[in-house]
Amino acid sequence: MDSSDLASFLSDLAQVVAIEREPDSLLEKFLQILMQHCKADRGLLLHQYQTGSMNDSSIVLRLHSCVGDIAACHSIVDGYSWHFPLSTSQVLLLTDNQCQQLFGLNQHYQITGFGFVVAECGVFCVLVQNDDCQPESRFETLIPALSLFANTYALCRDNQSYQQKLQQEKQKVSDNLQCFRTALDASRDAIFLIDSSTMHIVDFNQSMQKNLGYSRDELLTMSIYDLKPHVDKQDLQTFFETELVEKGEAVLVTVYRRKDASEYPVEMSFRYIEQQQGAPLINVVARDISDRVSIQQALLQNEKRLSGIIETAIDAIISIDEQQNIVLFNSAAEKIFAYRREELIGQKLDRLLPEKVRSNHQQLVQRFGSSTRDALHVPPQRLLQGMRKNGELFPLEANVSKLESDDGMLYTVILRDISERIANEKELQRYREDLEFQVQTRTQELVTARDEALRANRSKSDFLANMSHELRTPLNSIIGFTGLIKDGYVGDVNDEQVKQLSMVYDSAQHLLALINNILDLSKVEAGKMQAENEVFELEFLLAEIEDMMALQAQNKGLLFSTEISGAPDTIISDRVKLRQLLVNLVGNAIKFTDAGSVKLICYQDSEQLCIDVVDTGIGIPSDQLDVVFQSFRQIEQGDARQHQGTGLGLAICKQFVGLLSGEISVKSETGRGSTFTVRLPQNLISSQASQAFGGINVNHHVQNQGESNTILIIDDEPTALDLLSTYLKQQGYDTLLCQNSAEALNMAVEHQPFAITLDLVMPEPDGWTLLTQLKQIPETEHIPVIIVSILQEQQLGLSLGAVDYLVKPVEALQLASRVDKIRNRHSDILLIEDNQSDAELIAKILGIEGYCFRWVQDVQSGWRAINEKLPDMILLDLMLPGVSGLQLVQQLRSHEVYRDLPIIVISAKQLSAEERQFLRDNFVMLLAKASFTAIELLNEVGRLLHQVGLEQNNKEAEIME
Amino acid sequence: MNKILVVDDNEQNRYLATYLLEHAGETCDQAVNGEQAVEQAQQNSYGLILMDVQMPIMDGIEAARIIREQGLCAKIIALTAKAMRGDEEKLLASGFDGYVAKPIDPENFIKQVKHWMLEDKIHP
Repeated sequence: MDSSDLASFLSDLAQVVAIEREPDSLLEKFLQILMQHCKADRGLLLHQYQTGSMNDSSIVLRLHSCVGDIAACHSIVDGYSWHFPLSTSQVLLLTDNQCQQLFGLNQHYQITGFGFVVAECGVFCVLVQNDDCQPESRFETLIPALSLFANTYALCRDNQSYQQKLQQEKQKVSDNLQCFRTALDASRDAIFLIDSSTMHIVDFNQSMQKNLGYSRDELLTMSIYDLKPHVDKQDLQTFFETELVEKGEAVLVTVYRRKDASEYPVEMSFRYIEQQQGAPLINVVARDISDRVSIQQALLQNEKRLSGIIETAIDAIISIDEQQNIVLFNSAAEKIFAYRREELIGQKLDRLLPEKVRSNHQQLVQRFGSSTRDALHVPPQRLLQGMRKNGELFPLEANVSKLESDDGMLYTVILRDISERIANEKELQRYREDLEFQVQTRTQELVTARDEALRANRSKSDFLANMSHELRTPLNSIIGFTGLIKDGYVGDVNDEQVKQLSMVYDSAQHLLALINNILDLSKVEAGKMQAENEVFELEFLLAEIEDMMALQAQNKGLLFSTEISGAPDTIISDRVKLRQLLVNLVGNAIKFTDAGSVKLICYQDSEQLCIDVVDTGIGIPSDQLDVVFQSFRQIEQGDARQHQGTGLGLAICKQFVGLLSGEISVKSETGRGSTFTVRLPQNLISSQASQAFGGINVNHHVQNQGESNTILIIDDEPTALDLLSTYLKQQGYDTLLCQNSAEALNMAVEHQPFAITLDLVMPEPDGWTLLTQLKQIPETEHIPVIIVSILQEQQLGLSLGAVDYLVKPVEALQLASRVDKIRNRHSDILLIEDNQSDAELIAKILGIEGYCFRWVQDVQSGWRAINEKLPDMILLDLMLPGVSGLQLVQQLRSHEVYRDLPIIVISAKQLSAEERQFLRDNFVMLLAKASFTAIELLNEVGRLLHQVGLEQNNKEAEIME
Repeated sequence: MNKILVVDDNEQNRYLATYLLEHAGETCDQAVNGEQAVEQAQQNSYGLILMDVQMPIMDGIEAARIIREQGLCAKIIALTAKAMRGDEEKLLASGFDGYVAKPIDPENFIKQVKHWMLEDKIHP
């Protein structure tokens, strides 16, 4: 480069340096100038170099480089230990070698003058000087210009990199700011900055907008006061000054108003921020605490409720901690114990307990605490007591529970004061006892009254029975003796005597009938009569009635007939009473009929048995039909006939019909006749069924195997013989007649009848002799003998060995039943025995004689059996389940009905003297089990049955008159 | 001698009374009811009428009244089974001069009748 080039180069350079500040464009301009003036492109600059040596005073300007690797440059350059780093603008002096190495020159150039090296690491202006030459003077102006350029470039470069850094920093700051912004916006709280001098909002996060509903622009116009609905600026100011400024931070709870005028509670926290420039800022975080507030309210509500429950509870609720200190004491507890809770909170629980249990209580609490149970119940029976403030003790009932909490165990006892309840219970108990006592007294009174009533009743019955007896006794004599005298048994009697005696006799009979009627009527009306139903054949009943009434009818020239048309063969009814009433009706019919007939017709109408007694007599006036059945009413007739009656007959008929659950009615036409109709309800039994009935209660006997069916009838009177035979044949027995008493014994021996009827008044041998004989010889001693005689020598007869005694005239039924008793042992024995094997033994014994019996195992069943059908005898064990045998005896003997019922007690039990006496007093036979023999039992049974049988038959005989 | 009229619807009663009286030497007639009694009293003159009270057709009280009215007989004695207190007064008020309770005691009966007959004689 020559000097003019140099000058223009320098001036151009100066221009660029003065203008350019951008390092890149500065360098570009520089290179352009360089190109221009050096007339070479960059790469060729190298060729400008002249080889030569360089010394430290060479100046190298580092300029923009395009050659090589900066790092390589650095290392090369560094290797030469430049005394300033290459990063700043450099003026370097390089030796030749250094240039070569630095720039990769593989030619050894001798460089004089200067050149520019454009290397990667910069553009270098190289001034090469020979060691031995002086620097050219033109370089003197170049060097400062180049230095200036280099400095400028370096400055620009520095400035550029500074700018870059600044930019980077700015960016960093901006990025950070952005981060914070995002974080701020993410917060749900409204965060904003206010200028402390103006109180205006200067910045805020997104939530500020969201929460309050204002837009960005709106917010920027607002101050903090605008956020609150009712704000006292002065107060707030004061607050800021006192709180915030002093402490640097503060918290305030208040209410914000949204744009839509709705309000919500906020908690504001303030932070004072000093600024370098301008008024300090205040950072506000406004948290919406509506949730918190509502939760708080809910909690409060809940607490109030729970508290309310505890306080309004009627029972005392007391909680204690592990140390037994009272932590909860509700109103009820206050009331019960008469303490205010303030007096007891924190105090020990045992202040509320009686002193004597206090020590125990501690242990109990601990034990409970460590147990697995979570509840304890103290029932009233435990008699736990509490102690009120005044020291008064009271009974209580309590429940204890425990709760494990973070603070330890919590025990809660719920208790109530049960003093009232206990008092009530005591009261109740007293009432109960009193009531019990009253009931007992009342029962006692009732028992007494009942006994009296029973006694009165018995007296009445006794009275009736006595009266009957008393009345009959004289009549007996009258009838008996006049009968004898008039019949010539006491001597001859003349006609007049006969006439008069007959009148006496008839009157006496009439009186007897009257008495019987009265007695019957009284009995029925006193409810002392019952229908004793049995199954019997209608035909036989009618036959009996015919027997009885035929003669009477005949005497008046009347036709008397009986007829069954369409009625069942067998009926169930009280045979005796039915017969009595039919006889009565027939008798009346005959009495009031002078000519024609009396008919007795049995038929069936719907479910009823109807019996008509039809006569062709004088009839009953229609106006008197109503009264005809009344007692003592007699029809006004124009004659004396009614006086032959008793006026009771129809009344009794009516009562009897009632007992049989039937009805009686009459139809009549004066002058034509009357028809009396008896209707009886019937559970009709056909003949087949009656047989299937097994012959219970029927006058059909059961044939025991091997036993004879024959009865030997001994009587010298043919009519008597005939009559008895007829009766017995009717019952299905075979009869053997003996008119000659001398043959009787042989006949008995030969035929072995199962029974003998024996007349007494006979030519030799008479009945007495025969009886003795029969009982003496072994072949006949076992044959039961029934005496049938006009004589009344029962005692004698029985003592001589007769089993029964009937007084003539006998009725068919009487005879039949006596014979039945012998033949079938129709006696119904009731055995009450709970031991199976004992019962079997007795059964066997009874079976020897063919007795029928029913077996039950306890008293209850026994009563059932007795009520079903009254047994003829009871065999009774004493040791029975439930009611004992002795009690049964007691019960039986206390009723009139069962007083005469024979009872044999068979017992294994050793009886005390009192018990034995009791049995004796009650006419109860006692046999000890295991010590009586079969024969003894049978004897007793037979004897008792027989006795009863006799008594019964006597009663029957009296009634049936 | 005055006759006695025995009135009773019951045959045996009549017979007994008549028998006793005749045995005692009196003469008797019989009637079976009040109506007959009146008839017979009208037809005959009786010293004493023994009259049963309860009879059909016409009872003793009615008959006694008529007989009294008609002055047929001076003495009428009632034969009555009703011998309760109060009955006596009733009978006497009805026109009977006295009464005999049934059943009659034979001895006493004769004595009483004798007495009445005598009375009649003393005070005709």
